[in-house]
Amino acid sequence: MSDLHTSLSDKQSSLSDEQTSLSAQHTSMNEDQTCNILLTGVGGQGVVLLSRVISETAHRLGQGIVVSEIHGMAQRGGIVQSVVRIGPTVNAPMLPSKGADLLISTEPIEAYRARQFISKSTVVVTSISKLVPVPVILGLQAYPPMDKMLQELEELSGRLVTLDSRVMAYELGNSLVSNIIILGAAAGVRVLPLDTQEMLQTLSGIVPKKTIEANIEAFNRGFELANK
Amino acid sequence: MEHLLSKEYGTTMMVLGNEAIVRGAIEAGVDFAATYPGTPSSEIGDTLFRIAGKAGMYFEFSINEKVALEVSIAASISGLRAFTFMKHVGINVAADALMTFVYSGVTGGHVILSADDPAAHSSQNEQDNRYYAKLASMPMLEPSSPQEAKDMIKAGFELSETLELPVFLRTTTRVNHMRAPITLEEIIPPKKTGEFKKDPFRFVNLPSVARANHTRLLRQFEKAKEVVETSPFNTREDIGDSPRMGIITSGSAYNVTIDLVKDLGVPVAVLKLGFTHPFPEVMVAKFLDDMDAVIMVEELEPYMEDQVRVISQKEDILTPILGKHQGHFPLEGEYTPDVVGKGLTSALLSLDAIPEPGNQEGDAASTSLDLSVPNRPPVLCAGCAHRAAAYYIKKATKNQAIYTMDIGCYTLLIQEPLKTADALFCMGSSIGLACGFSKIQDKPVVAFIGDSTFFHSGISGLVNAVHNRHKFLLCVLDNRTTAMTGHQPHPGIEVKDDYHDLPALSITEVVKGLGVEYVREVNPLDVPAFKEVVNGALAHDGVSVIVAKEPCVIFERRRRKRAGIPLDKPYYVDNDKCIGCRICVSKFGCTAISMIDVEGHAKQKAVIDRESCSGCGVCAHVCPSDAFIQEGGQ
Repeated sequence: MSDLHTSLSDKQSSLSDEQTSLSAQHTSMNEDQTCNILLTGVGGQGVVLLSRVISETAHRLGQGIVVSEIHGMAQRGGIVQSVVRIGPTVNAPMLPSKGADLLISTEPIEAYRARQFISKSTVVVTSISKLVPVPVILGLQAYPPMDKMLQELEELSGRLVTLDSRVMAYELGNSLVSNIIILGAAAGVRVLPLDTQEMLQTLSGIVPKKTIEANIEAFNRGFELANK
Repeated sequence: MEHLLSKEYGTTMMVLGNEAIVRGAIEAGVDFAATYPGTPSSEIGDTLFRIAGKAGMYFEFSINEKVALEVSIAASISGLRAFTFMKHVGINVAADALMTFVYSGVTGGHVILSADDPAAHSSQNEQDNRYYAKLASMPMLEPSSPQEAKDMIKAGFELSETLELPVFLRTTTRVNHMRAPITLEEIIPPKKTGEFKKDPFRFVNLPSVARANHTRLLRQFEKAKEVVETSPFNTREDIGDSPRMGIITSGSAYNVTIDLVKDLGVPVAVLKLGFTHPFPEVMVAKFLDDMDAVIMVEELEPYMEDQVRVISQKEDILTPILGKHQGHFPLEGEYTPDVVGKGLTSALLSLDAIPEPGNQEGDAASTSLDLSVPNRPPVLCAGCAHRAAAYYIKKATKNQAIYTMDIGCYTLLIQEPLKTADALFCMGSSIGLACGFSKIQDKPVVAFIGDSTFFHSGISGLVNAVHNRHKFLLCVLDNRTTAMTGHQPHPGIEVKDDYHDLPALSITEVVKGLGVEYVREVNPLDVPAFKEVVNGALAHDGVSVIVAKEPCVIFERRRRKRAGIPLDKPYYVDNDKCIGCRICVSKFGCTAISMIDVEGHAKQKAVIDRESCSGCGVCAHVCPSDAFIQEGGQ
């Protein structure tokens, strides 16, 4: 977990204890063997690619799978959401409130916006790299305070993993792998009922050949961060 | 090898609903397909445009949905299998042809797909097109998954050929954009040519023929009423032992319902209807009779619910029917698990079938904080030429004009800071509205329309403007593609590849040909030239047309990358020159520009995001202090 997350936890010691026990109870699947994943972010951040890696891996491994991708006007910088449900009897590619086992977000506001889907059995993996919405640039609305957003996400969820994916991607020398670092972190929290090597195999089959190595490195960087 | 043309029969493949529809059309050996792009059906056309040639199928992007249906009708009354698909509002455009086409019917097969958009994710309304099937007496199928969509398009062609009627395939966004596995089945190769057997007393719908054809249609539709009762798409599934509680559902609402009922704690029988017009009356009457109560779960209008109520009255079956009429379920938006869960709870509570829920602690997801979250609306891209055109037209009209808007990316001009969108209803409406506004009041009127939309339905409005002597400025935002729906070509674009050799029509020449006296083609990124043309157009006494021509910035960037052509160099801000006036952000609003604190300066300074800057340079014209400078420039 990131330093920021740790410092937040320290501030709320009473909550942290409760969360530790909840985290320990959390298994990779809920009772009916279904894993419900909500991916959210901003158009252009590669949310649909993450959704594809997860869903195609699950399909190759013979698991039941249903996915929704709402594109709409996403290409123009709007919100992109994808629901991935893995399990023997999944039909609707939508989640009820509090219905996510795993929330993966490529932007902190979007994780916060999706908080209705979070419960104490949700693991939240979100980038804290800001992508400032246009109304904020225009001075019409404010970007919410990061610490308050993360504090609330932490209170609502079973576990919160935050990472500054943009900075980490720059450190790796490739600004384009930011989303793959987040995917790696999502794999690292061990909620997905998927073998990590299988996910890497799917990823390698989707991304351009010459970028495979960079993508695997990015995935592993995220994985290590979350798998602590 | 295109994966959707794979002959590995029996294997499964994860595909988008729209790709499953394409695969279904290919397996069915569709000979002829046409569309006008529109979300949520767009990927069907994108995919067919790429692979139809290899599959031996004829496919075209027609100029609008009516023409798409008409060209396809020629094929399906010539013994071929024709597939016409569009978004829900496209059916409104095609409806004139459709309502009489059903009178004559087909000699081949015809499936017409309507992609409805509950919640209007990317549409101007959320109309329920199931009523078109009823209005036109067309058999209708409603899939709930990609596999079912593929099965239904194939079954639709068989049904169409049996009944000699077109078949309506009604999808919704959640099905079009659902990704799930499909099983590949055998591909039937298309025929090469059709044969039209002349039969004017069937295909020429003058009044006497129309009357006879209407009788024919009703007779054929009677046959459909028999077929529907044995359809494999209408099935009953019992959850729990000997259920006395029934649910009738369809499409996307079925998926949500079946996931929820397992946890209801009440045994239920779920009647899933996939073949919904004609309505399976015998099956539903029996279901009503078997149940103590029936709950209707369907998105949008009470299309099925009303028919179930008719059956109840006609057959004298007094089973309570619960749905939208008692307010248990909404008439709008998507049926999410929360919406369906709430509706089912409300219906079951009214029947005393479940206990009152206790005060569920922490039911609401809100906590003590609940921060206000800024909106993230889709916006015009950095460097989009539409922004420059609207900015300088707004300036020239001193923001005093009425701006009529049309459908495309440029609809986003409704937003801050440009806000040059005052009225919009449908494709092409900018021009008709401008005609009317110019007659009823004295303010200047400016209509905006895109290039593809101009061909779709702008031309007739412009003829009207010329003939009736309306006075307004029409700005055709010609970005050389159908950008909003995913960069499909249109008649203004030359298309040359292995399977196409299509010429381009010049919008300027079309406009001149219509008799418009003031016509100028100009690049809005060439700011001085554009400003001059706008002033000239506004001074013209009559309708004037500016063709604001500059390729879509995303499309152009991709084209250059593919062709190895270098991109234009981005701009940067000279902090010593920037006076912090914010005009570039608060008035122009290019998304590559924002304001930041700079050490040693009291006021915030503009800053450009290098990654998103396209190098268009309009900011340098917008800026009053020459603070924007191109990299590598002076």
